[in-house]
Amino acid sequence: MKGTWRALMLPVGVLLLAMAVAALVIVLAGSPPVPALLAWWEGALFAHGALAESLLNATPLLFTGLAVALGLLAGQFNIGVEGQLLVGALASAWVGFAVSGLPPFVHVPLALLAGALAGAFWGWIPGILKAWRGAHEVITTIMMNYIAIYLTQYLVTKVWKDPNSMSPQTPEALPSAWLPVLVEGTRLSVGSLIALGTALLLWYVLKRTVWGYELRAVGANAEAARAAGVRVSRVIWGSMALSGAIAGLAGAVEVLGVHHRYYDQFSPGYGFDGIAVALLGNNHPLGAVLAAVVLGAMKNGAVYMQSVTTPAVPREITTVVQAVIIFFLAAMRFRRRTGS
Amino acid sequence: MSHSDRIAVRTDGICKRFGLVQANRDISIAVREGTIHAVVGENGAGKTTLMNILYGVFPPDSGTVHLMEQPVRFRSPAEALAAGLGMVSQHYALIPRLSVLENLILGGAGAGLAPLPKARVLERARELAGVIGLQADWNAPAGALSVSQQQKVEILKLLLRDARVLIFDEPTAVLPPADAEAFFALLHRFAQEGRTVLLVTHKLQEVLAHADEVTVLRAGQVVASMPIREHPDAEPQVDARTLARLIVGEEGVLPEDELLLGTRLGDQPRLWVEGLTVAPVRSRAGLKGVSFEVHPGEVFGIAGVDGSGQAELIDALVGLVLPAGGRIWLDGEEMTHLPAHYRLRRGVRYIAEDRHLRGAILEWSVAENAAMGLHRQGGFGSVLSLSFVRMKEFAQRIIERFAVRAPSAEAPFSALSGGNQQKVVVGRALMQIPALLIAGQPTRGLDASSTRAVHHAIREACEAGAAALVVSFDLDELLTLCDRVGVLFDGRMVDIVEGERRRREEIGALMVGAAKGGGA
Repeated sequence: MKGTWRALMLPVGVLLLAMAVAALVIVLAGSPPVPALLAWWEGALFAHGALAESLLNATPLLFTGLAVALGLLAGQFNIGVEGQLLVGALASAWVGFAVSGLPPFVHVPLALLAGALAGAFWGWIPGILKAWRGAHEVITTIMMNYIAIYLTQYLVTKVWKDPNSMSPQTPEALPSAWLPVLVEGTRLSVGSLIALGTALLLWYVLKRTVWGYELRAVGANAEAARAAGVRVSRVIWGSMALSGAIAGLAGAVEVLGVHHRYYDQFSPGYGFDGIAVALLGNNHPLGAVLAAVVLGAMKNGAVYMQSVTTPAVPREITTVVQAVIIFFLAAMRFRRRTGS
Repeated sequence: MSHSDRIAVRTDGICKRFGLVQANRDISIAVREGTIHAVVGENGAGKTTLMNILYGVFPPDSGTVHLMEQPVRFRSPAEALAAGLGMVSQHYALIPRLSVLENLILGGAGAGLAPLPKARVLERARELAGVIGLQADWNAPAGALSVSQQQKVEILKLLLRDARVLIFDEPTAVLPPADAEAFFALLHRFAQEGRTVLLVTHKLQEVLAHADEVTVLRAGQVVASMPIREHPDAEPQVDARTLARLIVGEEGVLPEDELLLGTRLGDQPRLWVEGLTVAPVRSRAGLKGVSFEVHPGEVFGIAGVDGSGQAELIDALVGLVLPAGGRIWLDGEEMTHLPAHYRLRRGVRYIAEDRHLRGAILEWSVAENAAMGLHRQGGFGSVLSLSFVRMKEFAQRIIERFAVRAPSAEAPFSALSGGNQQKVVVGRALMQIPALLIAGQPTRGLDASSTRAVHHAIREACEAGAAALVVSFDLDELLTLCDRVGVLFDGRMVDIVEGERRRREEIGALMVGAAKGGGA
């Protein structure tokens, strides 16, 4: 119990510290901080429809946070979540508009599966390169991000472009592929429940299965895991593929639940936000749930804050908060590892 | 000028607590300048903690340290070194990829962007290397040196900083006999020069043969501190039995010298190795066409200077490296190219020679570590439902059977002392009777009674039908435990010694390639 308490204290402390830095930035930008922070708070939770929008914001963050956390637990720094998310989103959008005549209970899972598989494939490539050739995943996943960005761009401008639109986007998905709305009158869809379910499933797999045990062993000490009969290279590419699958689901749920189509540059960097979520959630699936909700609410509240403050506090202030979180928590992890 | 009356190191009432464990309790010792002062005690008695406090690794909770009659309070090893006190730990602190010279410069170089003082350090190092008998390529990576050479580089590091007090933690644990003798000759030389040596060891014969004074620790307290001999050339006034009694206490069980020999069970060999050839992995020799067999009921020892091919042999048998040639059979089934997890399923168990690197995951609990390697054997539930309750029960059984001092099965592995960690690693390999046990230095860092417990456990397993292969740098261990001893030299098995020829001198000579021998 004491350990759980301590595990919670550190992220909460860092979060408060990050908010304090944000307040300082607001002051330096020439806005009165107290009304701005109050507006931030109100926009996150209490304004009309705010709660649902906050949870909507939290959903892709939870997926990408889980994807990053899973990689880190296996000792892999998957910076390619963004690219895996993009290919996953486009794959599910394609199944959404190109495959017709299916009832929703087949079409929706099929589109989700396509997203997960595309993401898994995109994560598996750097995984296999690492497992077989020792290519560092940080380099290869960043390269894969660029391939994903330009490949998806090409596909939505040249191949699968909506003929009825000027913008680079796919046709709208058939309604049979849409995720059902969860709360009437909001954009909150079943996708949020899928994210939560993924977190719970992941928590179980990591804590209570042989696969999770071996994955954590490889992440903590690959040499010892190998000596204990763990097939380390299989765990490396497997964990990268699974991480990519979760990232692909993030894209699929955004497409099928919110936009109902893929359009170019639809992700404002969810994949990179996932790093902050994973760190703030202490690499724990359930910690990621809390972290995603907090950061999602913060993003949502910042939009409201921008609209009601004068001079306007730009909503990009959340980027400052995330940066401070990553900065401090990454430094703490490093400190713990070197044992000083 | 040895044996001055000056006190080189004095501690007053040192206390140190780690969580629930009182590692040091009111420790007051005085170490005279120019002496070799041994510190002995069981695993977890507080020896290493005390040395770490002296060396500034962490501060004491209370109590003071005096160096050369001056009160000191080191906040880091760098400060201790600057004041003339240095330590060579059990796990050497060399950076394998850096050259020998760069390792020597590390930590002692000037500040910031000033060029590395290579020429100056090299000149001094050459001088001192002659003194301590180090012959090494200064530009070779430190990781390519043998263990004995690495130890000398560590010593050289301290001499370059002109350390007056030198602490050695288990310095002979991995040295072959001849190198150990040379090492002690060096210690005597240091003492004659007026330096002071603190020697932490489990080997009481070393203490009696070489130390001037001894301090015995038990459960974090000083139970005795006394002279061993009046002057460096005198006979010891204390015998091993007295020391051993002080170490274990009134209730403790004294280790007996005994020979643990077994009988072969059955005619078929359990392990059959023929012409095994492995490219060098961690040492430089590799393995060159080694053949031998091990029968059920038998303990087969592997002797040899470190780097003679032991690491490659272990890796090939465990299934961590593919041999370049030759074949391995287990109970008549060829497993030359089968992966480690398959061999585990066939009952091959492995005690890793370096528990920090390969044997355990320090940040995991004792229970999670206890299950490592056995986690797919079905004893802890299925693949989809791993039972932590059963892991804990299993760890608890290891804790009881091997008298592991652990707060609980759920305690982090890193909270255990080195010896107790080793007991867990050994215990998990022996809780079920293995078909084949591959043990790399199974008693490294263990005290006498724990060593005995491990030897007996290995023997018991063999009586129950296991075959065991034990790699050790401790000849006494091999002679106590093994029915036959294969000697590796430069990657070849130069001889297999048994019966009448099972003698220290015989094996010692074979280890350095100096005997006629049969196999080579």
